[in-house]
Amino acid sequence: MNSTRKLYILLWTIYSIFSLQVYAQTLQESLTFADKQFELKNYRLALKEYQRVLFFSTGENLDYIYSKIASIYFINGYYSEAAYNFERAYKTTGNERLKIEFIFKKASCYMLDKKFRMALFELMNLPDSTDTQYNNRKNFYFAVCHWGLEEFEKSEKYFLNIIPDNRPKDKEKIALLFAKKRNLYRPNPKTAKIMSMILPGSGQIYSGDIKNGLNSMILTGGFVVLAVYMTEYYTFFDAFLTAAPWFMRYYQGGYQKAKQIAVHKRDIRRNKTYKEILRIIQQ
Amino acid sequence: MMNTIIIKYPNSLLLFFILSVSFSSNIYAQTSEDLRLFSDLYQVHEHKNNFARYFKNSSNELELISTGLFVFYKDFFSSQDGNHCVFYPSCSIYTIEAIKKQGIVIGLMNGIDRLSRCNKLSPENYPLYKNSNLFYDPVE
Repeated sequence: MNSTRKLYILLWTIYSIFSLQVYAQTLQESLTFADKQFELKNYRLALKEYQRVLFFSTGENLDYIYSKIASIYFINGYYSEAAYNFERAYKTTGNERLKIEFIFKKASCYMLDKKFRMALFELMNLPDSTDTQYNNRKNFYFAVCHWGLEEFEKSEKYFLNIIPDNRPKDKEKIALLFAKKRNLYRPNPKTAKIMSMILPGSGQIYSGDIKNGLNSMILTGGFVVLAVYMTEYYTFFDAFLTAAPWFMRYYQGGYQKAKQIAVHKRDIRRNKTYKEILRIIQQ
Repeated sequence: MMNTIIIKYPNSLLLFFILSVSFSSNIYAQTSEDLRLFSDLYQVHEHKNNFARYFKNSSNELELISTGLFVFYKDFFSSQDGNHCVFYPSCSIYTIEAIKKQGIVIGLMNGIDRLSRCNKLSPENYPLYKNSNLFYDPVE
């Protein structure tokens, strides 16, 4: 047997093995492979496989595949894509229990994307039930959404619904947290901005950032002193041309900063209250 | 009727119990999962600028002085300013990084060049930085 013939036989054997393997790859095997990759957290490969299965699928297990694709997007922080795929999973499933689960998932995608109004629209589709756990979950989602929309009265109502009647102290604690509106609305960003417009730096001090407030006062005050000095030794026109642009730059920057600081401080307070509520619920 | 079921299928009660337990634990897990999922939803992130790090690796006094001036500017002036720079990183950070990389003379010249380009007249020359409207122009 000459070497060329041997080579041909070898190539033919390799080709046959590969073609057999390709033939053997069924949709079910691809799905199993995708599931395995999902479990191993190889999400990129798993997504590719699920999409391949979806492409060649004859309409079986569509809800499962869509939910897996959505989960991959969800885990990786692509909430819009995840919501879109949960929506498709919702539409393709016939199981009522799964439909409810997909609604919750879609709502959570919107909530994590800070689209609370969209999440509320989804949650409105949830059916009524007497199941306590289900109702608690539903109330929790509604409460978090209303919190995000700054509708604290509605949020309070839903948070209180989660606490059972045999825990009146916890109910009281939550009601007390909501009663302290100061924690949720202050420092007021508008007030901080107006204060800094009237007296540069005062808005920052009102928001609790004394260092920034003093910095703003000294900086803008320095430009005022410069303008007065130049008016005295030169002309008002010179002073205006020299100091006014700088003054305006830091004056405007100052009151915008005051607003930002107030928003930041207020959000810290809100987050603290929110965490406290979650802690009470978790108990 | 119940008795008939139990006699006919002795394992039915056990199966029913297992199914009930498994479903209830599943729902409980979801609620806990939701709490965990949304616990950091309103988390506020602190943006602390550590400009003092530029003091490190100063090879000579001139670099040290320029770094000091930069840190003073960032802390005292720039902190009170609005977001006017069209670039990422901002012109001041670009200048100090250029000084660190290319030395005081070339770095300073590069910084002045950057300041002269700090406008929105030629957007075709720069890619946008992530999802912002800032032009991406790092020190090369």
